[in-house]
Parts: sequence; structure tokens; C-alpha cells
Amino acid sequence: MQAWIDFAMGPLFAFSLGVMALGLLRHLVLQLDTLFRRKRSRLKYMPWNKMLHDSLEWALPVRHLTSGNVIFSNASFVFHIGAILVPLFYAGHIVLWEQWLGVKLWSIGNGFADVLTVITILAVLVLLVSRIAVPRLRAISRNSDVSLLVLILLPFISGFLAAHPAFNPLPWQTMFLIHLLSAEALLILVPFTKLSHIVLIFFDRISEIHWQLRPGAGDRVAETVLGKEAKV
Amino acid sequence: MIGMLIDVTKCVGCEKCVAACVKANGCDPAAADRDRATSPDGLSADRLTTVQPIGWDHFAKKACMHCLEPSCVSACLVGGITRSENGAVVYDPDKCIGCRYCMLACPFHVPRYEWSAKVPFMKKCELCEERLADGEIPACADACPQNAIEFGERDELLRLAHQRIGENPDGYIDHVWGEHEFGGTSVLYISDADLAELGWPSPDTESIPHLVEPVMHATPIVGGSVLASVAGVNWIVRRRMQQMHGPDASSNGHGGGEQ
Amino acid sequence: MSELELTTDRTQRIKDVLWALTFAGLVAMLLRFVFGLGATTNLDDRVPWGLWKIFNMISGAALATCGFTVGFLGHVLHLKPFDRMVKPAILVAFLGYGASLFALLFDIGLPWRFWHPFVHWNIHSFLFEVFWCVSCYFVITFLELSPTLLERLGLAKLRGVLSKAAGVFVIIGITLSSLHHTSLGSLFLVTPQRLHALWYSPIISLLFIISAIGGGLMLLALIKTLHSWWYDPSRVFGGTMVREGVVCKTCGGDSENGATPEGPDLHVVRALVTAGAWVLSVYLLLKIGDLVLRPEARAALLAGTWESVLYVVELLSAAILPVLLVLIKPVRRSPYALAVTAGLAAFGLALNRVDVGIFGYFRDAGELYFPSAIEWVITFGVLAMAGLAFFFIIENFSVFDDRWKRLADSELKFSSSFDRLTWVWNHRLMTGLERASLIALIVLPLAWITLYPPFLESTPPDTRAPLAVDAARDTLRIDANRDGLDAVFAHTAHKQRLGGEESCVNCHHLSMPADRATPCSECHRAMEAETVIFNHEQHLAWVAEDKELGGWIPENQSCVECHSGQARSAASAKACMECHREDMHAVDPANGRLAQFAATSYHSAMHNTCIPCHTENALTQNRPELDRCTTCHQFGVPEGLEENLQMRELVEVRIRRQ
Repeated sequence: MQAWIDFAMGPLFAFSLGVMALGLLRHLVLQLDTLFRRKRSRLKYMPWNKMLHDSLEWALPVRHLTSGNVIFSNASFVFHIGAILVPLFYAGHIVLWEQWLGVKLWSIGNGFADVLTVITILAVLVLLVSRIAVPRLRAISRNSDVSLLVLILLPFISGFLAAHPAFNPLPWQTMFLIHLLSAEALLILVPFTKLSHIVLIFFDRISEIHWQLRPGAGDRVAETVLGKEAKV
Repeated sequence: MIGMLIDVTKCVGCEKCVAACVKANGCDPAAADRDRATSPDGLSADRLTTVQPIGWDHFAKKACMHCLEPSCVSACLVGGITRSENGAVVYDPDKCIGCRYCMLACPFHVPRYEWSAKVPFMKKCELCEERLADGEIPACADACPQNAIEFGERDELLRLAHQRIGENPDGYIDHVWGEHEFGGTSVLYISDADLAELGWPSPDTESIPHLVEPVMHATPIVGGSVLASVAGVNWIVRRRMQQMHGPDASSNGHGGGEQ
Repeated sequence: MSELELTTDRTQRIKDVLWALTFAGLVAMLLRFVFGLGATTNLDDRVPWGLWKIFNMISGAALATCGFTVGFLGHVLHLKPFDRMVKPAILVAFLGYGASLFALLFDIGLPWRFWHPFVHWNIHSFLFEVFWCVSCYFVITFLELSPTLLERLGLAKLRGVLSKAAGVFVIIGITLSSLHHTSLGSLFLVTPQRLHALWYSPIISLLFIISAIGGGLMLLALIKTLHSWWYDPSRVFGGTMVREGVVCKTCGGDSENGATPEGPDLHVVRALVTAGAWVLSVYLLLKIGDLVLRPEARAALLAGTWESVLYVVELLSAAILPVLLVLIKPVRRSPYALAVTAGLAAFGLALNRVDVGIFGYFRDAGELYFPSAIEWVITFGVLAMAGLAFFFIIENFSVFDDRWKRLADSELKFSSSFDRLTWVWNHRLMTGLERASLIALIVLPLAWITLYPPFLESTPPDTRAPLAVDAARDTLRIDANRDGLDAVFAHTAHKQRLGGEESCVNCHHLSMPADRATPCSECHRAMEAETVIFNHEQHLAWVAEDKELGGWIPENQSCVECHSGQARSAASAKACMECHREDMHAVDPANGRLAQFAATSYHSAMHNTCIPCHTENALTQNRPELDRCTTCHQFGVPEGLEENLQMRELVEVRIRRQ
């Protein structure tokens, strides 16, 4: 077991981090390429303001939190806060960043991290239940939308349990290995799935497929699901 | 024409010569210590000389033999290894490109490479060039408590070797290793045990440069004749094509791939 | 449309593999320079020349001879079928020599000095001649190729000048080639004592150039066949391939009947293979003559060693089988059989160079050399780069034909898509940067973690000696690294002098639980490296049991028993002695505190145990001999140390070095 943990914390971690970093870099480069090609072509108009506006709006989507599908939007917003803060700034992870990247980040308090983790888990559960139970959402959800949520749930739950032995039903090492492997699977999947919106969100306006994240834009996703992908 | 005479009958295998060599050449003693166990014959980039056992009660110091017609000097493509005026075969790290042909060329497997270094060079005994310049004798000969290593003029040493054999014919095999092998070496051995184990060939073995350099020197002749004959054939063919098809025909062979 | 589809289908997978090898090669190249030759290759002082020099350079150059032979046949003699193959032959030569020289940059120790032979001359060296001829010939192949490249790029004037000079280039190229191919063989003449008698021949230069001429023609025939198979099968494989413009998907099958019309280019392949076979038959005669006239080679062949088997296999593949196959009429008519013949001869040629340069030296080196992963990856990475360049040039310039003129310049745009990956891979990312970069992002990290030397470091060898049995002896001879410099240790005498059974803990400072005197080597397992002796997994269970922890899984509660602070790491764990002071008789004479997880090397454990006591008694009892290395090492001390050195000084030396 220890050998597996060593492998998962050593080479496998380097691999998944590498795939994610290179994959996102690739998305970025190719998007910038599209951008400059677009500029060279007849489409002189560049929606800079809109791009900035959209990016900022997603950083603080006040409008969406108060209207439309309020529960889903709020759960999504809360989830994103937890999904960014906990993996990056949890005290146990700081050591890892320092070891692999040589940067020492600030850490958030363990108590705060616990609360945030629980909230994030609950938010993911809300998203999951909504996607399955609400007919409108279900109609526009692809299999990958649901399974990715399950996969995101895994490292959060296993990480929380590994840090809290009192609730942990499995031996610590097993739980820790589940945590490592599921988190690494997620990292590897980032460039190949919709998780790549980490980078692509900024190019939302100019992407060839308008993968609209706005509530209400789901109809287009539904088109994709139904195979009516007219514009490629 | 300096050289060394190693009397195998006197060597007790204490390796003081190795310790002195490590010190004189500024090698890493810990690495030298390690390489004693890991290197097949005990030589490495940190152990430029070693003591090899022959059988169970004989020892012989091994290092560069400083051949009179060195194969490595002939092989080095940048002329980075030269035979200096006093007979020592010396290496110029400023010219070396790291091709390691000298290692392949040496019939005694002497040149070693700094494999673990990021900027690696070849290493071998240079007969303590710097110590000689300071008027000292090589470190190994200086350190030997048994006087098994004599340093001096090669001719003198040869005379000494034959004198020792002559004085004590039962104590030695009547042969001076290095007198003729590979065209002669500056490091000579006398022994009461056969040194074939150390890789010594039969005495009439030719020096390797003597073997290969005639071939190399034929190169300009071969090149010149190939050039002349191809150019001649080219001229003849062109002329005949011109005679057959008129002046344009000669240049259309170039069109190549058009189908 | 169907033609375009066929094009992408046939070469796509090959290009994918080539891209993957290229990216893995780039990682390996970086590691080669970061970690140096020793850590990344399996070369050593006994085997100074390995895969890169022998396979990439010498085999590579031999396989790329077609540039000058076909140049001679087509350009000088104006022989009919060969003149059409001049451009492809020059391309193969250019890429072959380019790849060979590029691989050499990783092999030589100081690659930034690659230009030295131009300045520092040694006209007696074969390698000097090889270097000059190969690098000049590489330039010549580039000049010969440049009119083809310039045709597309414009610059008609320059192209005209270069085309006019083509005849001169060809003649110079032939001269340079014949010189360096003979010299590549002569390189091995300097090792009469080392190279195996089967391959060390006085006519090795002649054998090298003749086999290279034959094998090079064969390789060109193979490339011509493959080119046709990829892009336009009808040209070599005959008429059944394309029916009324519809591509027959099963063209690889054996559906042909006797009436199949021959492909219009088959006679070119046949001419190349036949010419190659003629040359190889001369080579075969020379080889047989060499074998008959050299008694030591005869003896070596009849000795039945693995070398003789290898020699026979090599000769079968390089000469005997190709020559015999070409004699058979159906073989000369079948494109498949011709390709197999050509492939066999090319393989045999490459094998011959590897035999001479690598296998032939094994017996002398006394060890087997198998290239390291990084060596393989760079070897194939360089070849893959040449392969990609080959595809790029034949698809965009008029080398084999003018195909690029007919292809629409279809620019595939990238778009961020969340469609199924397999669909994207198979239908969307057909070519270009998008596909290659997708390969890159998998291959680069994968190559990194599989080749990164620190990940591959083996654990230090276990030098545990069976000391427990020896404890009963009066005197121990301790020689853990088997170098013959054993230390003589009077165990019983020490015990009695220091106070009988009570004194065990003086030296056995940390026994296994419930053990009175655990042998030193139980924990100090490596001679010169630290050994991790702490077993975390076992401690979880032990601590849970000992402290009677509760909960679902008692082990899970055990972390806080040893670790404090936020991060549960080695730094936050408490010292072993806090729990084990009683049961393990722990006294650490060295510094009073035990390193937590690692036992020091056997070497320093021994020294640190004996030396403090010895030096102290040497002073207090005025017995200087106690302080000498030779007191224990009665059979000599490691070189680099004075025999009269005092141990005290030794400790200081070590501390300073650390």
C-alpha cells in the first residue's frame, strides 16, 4: 500500500500535473491562435469588452444568483469557491506544492477548510440531484456532466475522511490512496473534458462552438446532445 | 625519452602508488575508493593507476603505457592527444570533443571517461607532466616503498632491466615487456610471472598506427582517382548523348520525378 | 475526395507514432543534457561506443548511400529507370545523414565543440576523415536537394544556378561518399585485439562500402514501394487497386489473379532491387573469400559460439537471401516479394554495422551492453523526426511526384469541442498542430516520469552480513564491501574489557525490540548510503494496539500519537526514542539523539562507533597506536589515506567533506 501511495504521490502526480498543465497550455495557445487568425481574417471586430465583461461576470455572477434557477446557480457558485480554495490552499496540500513546484502558498485554517469542504460536498450533491431529478436540467445533461460531478465528489469526500479519522470507515492508507487517485484522474481529465473551462471560459465569446455557460443557453447544449451539431 | 620500469617481483600490492596518484592528479579519493570495487580492472577517471593482481601472489601496477607509436594519438580526430618531446603521451582537454575514439583505439584499455560529469573529459596517466616540470619524479615512482617503480631515461631503464635479468636469471622471465610490443612502450615491465593476463600481446605485435596509417594515407589517392574517373565517365556520357541527341539532351537527366 | 481520404488513412497512424516518438525523444534529449552521459546511458569505460554512434551514425549512413549511387546511375550514366529516382534518393540521403549527425550531438561528450575538427586537424585519423567527408557530404546533399525545395518557394534565379551546378555536386558527392564509406569501415581497423575475429577483416573498408551501396539501393526500393502504398498504390501494386475511381479497401489482400496488370512503376522498384542484388552478390563473394583466406575467422565461425550464429544470420539477411530471392522470377514480379527482399537486405546491412560496432566487442569488453531507455528513446526519436521531415517534404514538394499541386490547401481550424474524444480524434483532428499537440500532452509527461533518472534510481544494494552467527566468535573480520580491506575486531576482548554483558549497549545502541544485541547490519544495510528503517504501515497497527485506540478503524486514530501540527510529515513526527527508550536499550553514543527514519551508512556507523572511544583512550591512556587506522585495518587502508593517519583526523576529514 505504501508503495502505491509513494507512486501516486511521486511519478503519477508529476504525470497528471504535467498533462493538466500542458493540456491547458495547449488550449490557451490554440485559442490565441484562433483569436489572431480571426483578427487577420475579415472578422476585424474583436469583442474585447464583452470578453472582459463575461469573465468578470462569471467571477461574481450576481444576476444569476437571484433569478432563474436560483438553487442550481447558487450551488454552482459555492461549489466553485470551494473547488478553487480547498485544493490550492489546504495546509496538507501546501507541502505538496512546495515539494513539486517550489512555491510556498499561504494556507487556510484547518477549521475553515473543513467547513468549506463540507459545503462544497453539499453543493456538488445539490448539483448532482438537480441534474438527475429536475426534468429540464436532465434533458440538457450529458452522461459526462453527471459522471464528472461524481468524480469531483470523490476527492473531496475521501480527503475529508482521510483528515478526520473519527468518521473514516476505511484504513487511512486506503482512503488516502482513493483521494490521490481520484484527484489525479480529475487532473488528467481536465484538458479533455468540459473541465477545461478553467482556461476556455475567457474565450467563451470567440470559441467556434459557443459553449454557453449562461443559464438559458442550455438549448444549444441540448442540440449537441441530440447530434444536431450544425456548426463545426 | 623518459619512461618507467616496473619490477613485478618487487611489488607487494600496497597501492601507495595509487594513493599518491589520486593525490597528485587531484582526483576524488572517495570515488577512487568506490571505483576500486566497481571497475573491472581498477582504472577509472578517478583512479588513473591501479594495482592488478596476477595469480594470487603477484601484483603489477597498471596505467598508461605511453607507447612509442600510440594508437590514441593516431586516432584522435582533433589531435587532442599528442606524444610530447620527452615521450609522455599527453592530453589536451581544450581540443577534446568527447568522441571516445581513443578509448576504443587503445590496445591496453587505458583511457577512461568522466561519465558522471556534465562536462566530461578523458582521463589517463600523463606521467605527472607538472611534477616533471617542477623537477620531481612521477608521484607513483616517488611513493613506492619497494622501489618497484624506476623512473628515468627509457634506454637506461632497458639496460637496467636486462642487467637485472642477467644478474638473476632464475628470478625473472627473460623478457622485457614493452620493449617491442605494439612498437614499444615507455613503461616497461620485468617479472617472474607471465603478464599475458594484463593484456600484453606477443612481442612481434605491430604498432597500430603502423598498421592503419598507410591505409589512411591512401585516402587522397583513392579520392583523387574516384573524382577523376567519375568526372571522366560523366564527360564521356555527356559527349555521347550530345552526339546522339543534339546539345539539349545532356541537361534533361535532371528532370527526375516528373511522371 | 476518395484519394484524399486514402492519403490520410494510410499515413495517419504512422505519423501519430512518429509524433509520439519525437516528443518522447525531446524529453530524453533534455534529460541527457541535464543528467550527463553516465546517468542516462549504459555506456561505460569498457563499452565507450553504443547505440547512437553505431546504429544512428554508422548504420544510418550506410542505409543512406542511395544518394550517391542513384546519383551516379541516374545523373552521370543517365540510365533510364534510375534517373527518376534521383530526387527521392537525394532526399533519403539528406535526411539519413542529417539524422545521423544530429544523433551524434547527443553521443559526444562536449557537443558544443562539434566544429573543433574543422579547426584542429589530425590527418592521420580515420575519424577525422569521416567527420570531414560526412559533414561536407551533408551540405552537398542539401545543395542537391535545394532546387526541389526552391521550386515551391520561388527564387527561380537561385534555383537555376543550383540546378546548373548539380552535375558538379553529384561528382563531389560521389567522391566524398566513397571516401567516408570506406573510412567508416577503417575506423575499426585500429582494434585488432578487440574486435571479434569474424568481423575484424583487413578488407573491412571494402566490405563496408560495397555492402552500403547494395543495401542503400534496397532501402530506396523499399521506400519507393512504401510511398506508392501510402499515396498511390496503383503505381507499384498494379491495376486492381483502383476501380473506376473508387478505392478498393481490401487492396492488401491476395485477391489478385494472374491477369493483374503490373503497376507502371514496378519496373523502377525491380531495377533498384536487381541492381542492389548484383552489388550484394559481389559483397557475398568478398565475404566468402575473406572467410576462406583468414584462418582465425574460419576457426571463429566453426567454434559455434553465439557470434558465429549471429554472423550467419547477418549474412543470410544481408546478402544470401536477397540474392537468392531475386533469382526467382515470381519474386521479381511481385511488389510484395520485392519489398520483403529489399527490407531483408536493408535490415541485414544495419545489423552488420551493429555487429561490427557493438556485438563484436562484447567478448573483449567482458560485459554485455544493452542500451538504456533514454538511449533507445533518443535513437528512435531522432529517426522519427527524420520520418516526419520526410513526410512533410514529400507531401509539399515535388520529390516523388507533383502531388502537392493537386491537393487542396484544406486548412482545418481548431475549435474547442466537448464532443467525445474518440470522435474528435478520428474525424476532427486529422492533421496539424492540434493533433500533434494532443499527442504531445500525453507523451511528454509520460516520457518524463518513465525516463527521469531519479525516479529510476535503484535502492542501494543490501550488504547485510550474517553477523548474528558471528557474534559467537572471538574475533570478527569486518569487510562489508568485500574490498579485502577488512577490519579486525576482537569482539570478545572488547566485551570483557568494557564490562561484560552489561557493556553490549555501548555499541549495540539500538536493538530490535526484545533483542539484546542486534547486529549492526540489521539496520545499517547499505555500505555508503542511508537506509530507511522506519516501517510506517506497521507502526499504525502497533501504536493502535499499544495505546488501545478505539473508533471504527483504530489505526486511523494513531496519527496524532506521533505527529503534531498541520501537515503529517516526517518533520512533524516525534523522535523514535520518545517511545522506545526502554525496550530497545537505546543509547546513541554518537550524538545522544537518533536520526529518526534512516540508519547511517554501514561505513560511518562502524567508524562513528569505534573512533570516538579509540581516540579518547589514545589520549587518556597515552597509547597513540589506538588512534591509527591500521590498528583495525591490519590488511591495509583505502588508498588516499596515510597509513599513519590518526582516526581523529579522519573524522575531521569526513566532516569537512560533507
